[in-house]
Amino acid sequence: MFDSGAEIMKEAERAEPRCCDLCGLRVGRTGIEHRVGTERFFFCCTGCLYVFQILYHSPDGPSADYRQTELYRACVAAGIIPRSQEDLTRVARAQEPPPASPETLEGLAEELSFRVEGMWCPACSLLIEEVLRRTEGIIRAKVFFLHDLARVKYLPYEVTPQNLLNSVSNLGYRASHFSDDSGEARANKDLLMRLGISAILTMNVMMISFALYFGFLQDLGEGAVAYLSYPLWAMTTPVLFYGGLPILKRAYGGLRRLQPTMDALIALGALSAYGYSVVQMSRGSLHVYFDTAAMLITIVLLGRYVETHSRGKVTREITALFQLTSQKVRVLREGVERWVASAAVEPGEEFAVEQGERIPVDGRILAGPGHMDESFLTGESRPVKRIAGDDVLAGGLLLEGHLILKASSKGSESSLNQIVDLLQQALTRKNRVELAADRIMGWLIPAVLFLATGTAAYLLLDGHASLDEAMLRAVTVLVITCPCALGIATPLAKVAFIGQARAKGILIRESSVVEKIKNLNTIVLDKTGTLTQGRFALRKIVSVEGAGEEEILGRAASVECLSDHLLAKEVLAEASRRFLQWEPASSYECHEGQGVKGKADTEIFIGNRQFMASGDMAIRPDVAQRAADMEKFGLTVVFVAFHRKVQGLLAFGDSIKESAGPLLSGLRSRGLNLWLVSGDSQETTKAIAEALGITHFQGQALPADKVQIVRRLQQEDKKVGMVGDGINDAAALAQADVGCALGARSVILRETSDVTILSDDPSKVLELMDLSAKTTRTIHQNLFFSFFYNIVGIPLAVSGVLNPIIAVLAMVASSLTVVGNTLRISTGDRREKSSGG
Amino acid sequence: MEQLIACFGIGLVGSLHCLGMCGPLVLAYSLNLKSVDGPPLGGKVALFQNGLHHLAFHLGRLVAYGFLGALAALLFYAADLDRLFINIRGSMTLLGGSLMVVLGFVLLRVLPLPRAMTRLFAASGSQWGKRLSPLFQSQKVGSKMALGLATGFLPCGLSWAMILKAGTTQSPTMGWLTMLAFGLGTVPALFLTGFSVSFLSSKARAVGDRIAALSIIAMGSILVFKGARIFV
Repeated sequence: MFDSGAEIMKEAERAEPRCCDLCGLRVGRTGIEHRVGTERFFFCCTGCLYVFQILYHSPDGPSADYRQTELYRACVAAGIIPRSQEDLTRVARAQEPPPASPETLEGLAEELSFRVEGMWCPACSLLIEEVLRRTEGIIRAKVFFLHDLARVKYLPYEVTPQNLLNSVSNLGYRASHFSDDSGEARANKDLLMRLGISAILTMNVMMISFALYFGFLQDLGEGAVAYLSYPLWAMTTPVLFYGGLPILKRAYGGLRRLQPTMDALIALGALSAYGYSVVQMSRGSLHVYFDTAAMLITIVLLGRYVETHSRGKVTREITALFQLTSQKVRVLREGVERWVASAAVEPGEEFAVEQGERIPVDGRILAGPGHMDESFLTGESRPVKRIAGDDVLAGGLLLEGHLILKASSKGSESSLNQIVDLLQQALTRKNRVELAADRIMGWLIPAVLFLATGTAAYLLLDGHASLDEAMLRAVTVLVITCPCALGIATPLAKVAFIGQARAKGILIRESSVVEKIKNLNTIVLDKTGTLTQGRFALRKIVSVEGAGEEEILGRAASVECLSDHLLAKEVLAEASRRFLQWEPASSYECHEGQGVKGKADTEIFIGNRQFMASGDMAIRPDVAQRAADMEKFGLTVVFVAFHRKVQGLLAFGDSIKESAGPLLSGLRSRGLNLWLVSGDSQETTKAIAEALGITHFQGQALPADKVQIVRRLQQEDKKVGMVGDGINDAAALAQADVGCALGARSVILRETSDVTILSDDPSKVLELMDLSAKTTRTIHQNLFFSFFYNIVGIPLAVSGVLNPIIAVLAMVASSLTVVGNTLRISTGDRREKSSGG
Repeated sequence: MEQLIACFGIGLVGSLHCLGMCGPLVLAYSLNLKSVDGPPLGGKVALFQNGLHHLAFHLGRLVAYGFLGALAALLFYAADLDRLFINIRGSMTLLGGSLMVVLGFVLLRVLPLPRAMTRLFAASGSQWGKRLSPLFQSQKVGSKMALGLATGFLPCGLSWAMILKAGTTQSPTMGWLTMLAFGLGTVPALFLTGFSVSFLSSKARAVGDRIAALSIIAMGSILVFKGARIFV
């Protein structure tokens, strides 16, 4: 019976936290591994190892398997080696076949996002991540401190979501599913409750303490005054153990895993002040520091409360996005509406969107129309009308109407999910400054502990200071050196940057662009689609014989309405834009490659030079010259003749975007060199470059040539930014120091560019530059602030100038300075807007 | 006196941990006893029949503990720095107390023991095992006494902590008494090995383990305070 049992036990140990092979208690992180032959044993302490060795080498052993010895059975029978219900479930679980390869694991894994509340600083998120990663059955875990969010990839048969939440809760943080909306509100209420009670009690504590310090109560007499420490104690105790409970819990959770967090420093400070005071109180001394303990906790709670609120403002943009990906969709199956998770929608399925809802999945409109607010994607808040046949992207808000759509991609691959993935990558990837900050954080906490104990030890051994003074100074040092502000200085600004950019319709793939954009000195611009509309349109109507533009257009339209040529569509579009009425021509003839002719009142000829010549329509030399000039600008010129005369010219071509001008002047005023590249002919490119005032240009550039241009500029030690839209720009975008893609539709660009502007408006580049300049400034200020407090505070604390209350005020102030400063990235813009409009 | 009671208490609670560790030792020699006396019995009953052997074992342990306690107190007394420096007082109490706190954390499984230390024990363990094996087989009461003596020297964090405590008394008599009190505390659980364990879940043992560790930390902290002249 035990033979197979032993095997199963071994399996079980692999799946569960290890237990001592002798006494059966949890091994924990301090366990000792010992090999005998090929077998590995684990022990909780040296004692167990020793006893095991003695037993193993005693006459009963060494046996092939220790677990088959008579002794082992006796131990199991006696209950020394556990044989409880836990074991049985453990054994049962271990019997499930372990999946083979990592790929299979990936396939079986599920993803879970949940809310984690109560994180103070990035060290907390590191701790939670570490614990989650070590949990059996978890493939990947990432905790986003700024969003109070954890994303985990786990194996559902190894661990349940509830287990995960529990293991996070055991550390002293509150973990909850996103679906229960009450979570955040409840957390806020809880924090407010603790803060309120602590604040009221602390105020009273402070009042009595001040009276004591200043000797107001001396008249009461020594004996009576001594009793005052009892009410102080009575009021401080709930502050510390109710108000400060979350802090104490998390401090313990971190210490148990040898990863002291900010909480540990605060808890240590408050507890030592409290403990010392209790001892003093019991001896009838008035040297109590209850006020310090109470203030520490209360100020930290207050700081936390303010910080959560303002941090929420900074991260709101992105948090909203994360939550959007887990939407429900009204899928129409056999005519019946059914709620389905957006991730489960398959391409081709039909779904409905009601007024006031967001489009959950990319799709094509089958029945409409609807007015949409796509500002979520493009940053453009003007409502857009979308009709049947239009493609819409997930994330847009339906302001008015009712849409039936057909999903064009899988729900899990919708553009919204892609955007979220990209943002997540950008958020996760750490830039240089952040890595440096992490490194500093790593040794700062041990250094702080060392510094604090060192200060106390020096004072004690030196014999000049009393014990309580030594303790107070140690507490002050502990508190003032809290690297809280340092931890959030850069990441918070980064999140604010990414979030704010997103609100403007700019998608940041690589957060390090913040620093790179500042260093750019050359911008390479793609012509077609970036500075120009990228669309063939009727750009100019020239009348040469006195006929009005409208007449020329109207006559042309009456013939062109019978044609399905590309140019014909543009003519009709322009005609209807001008509210012209036209009669379809009674006759219609199409001469392939030359033009069309038709009859309405008079014979109408529309076509090129040859076509005019074939119809005996003479073109005046000055008109011909005019046409040639326009052709030089890359325009296509079509002659329109009626009443037996050439009456006018229609010039078709790509038009320069309205926002191109402001963009270029903006770029120039920033002292940037501009280059224009295009796949169009050299002449056309030249014409556009001259029109825009760009001196460096190159036409007929193949994708490879564009890369070459960028590379050449880089070899001249230039920092090159590239703005492009077409797929043929992808390689150049990747080559450039900062690649900025324009337009939401081309997914491939997002893979190679650092930044994607989701609308077609190139002037967003300027907004991006302003934003990144602002962010860089903010990061530098943040780092300055966080270091400033520490660098000024530490010597003062060590030398005993500060007391712990001032220290905790300074620490909270430094955090709030950083948060408040960062908040300017998110809100400054709004203020500009409201004051401007 | 309170100190001695505290030590006895720690022994009592801490032996829930000993149960897992030294229990097998007790069982190991009982198994050998049984096989001679008659058909092997199922773990529980045999133990009382061999009361004399158990008594010898525990006596051996107590002697070893007492010896260690007295020795530690003597060493602490000899190494006391107080007489050399004027500014430092109670340094040995401070030292002993701090070491106890550290050991307490080791017992709580918060801190690991230095790797070199565990390696040393892993290596020497097998040697000891070979030496001691004849004692397990022997039927003589004296050999149980020897086994008990050896057990007292086992590298156990709990007993180390108590030895430190004994050391800080700086008086061989007090040190001896301290360890004796601790040792006596551990007797009941081990004595009743066969009976007690089966109704003590591993959870209860873990709790006992933790209480003992926390008591050690508390005791150590008190010593630190004492050394730093907070009380007295």
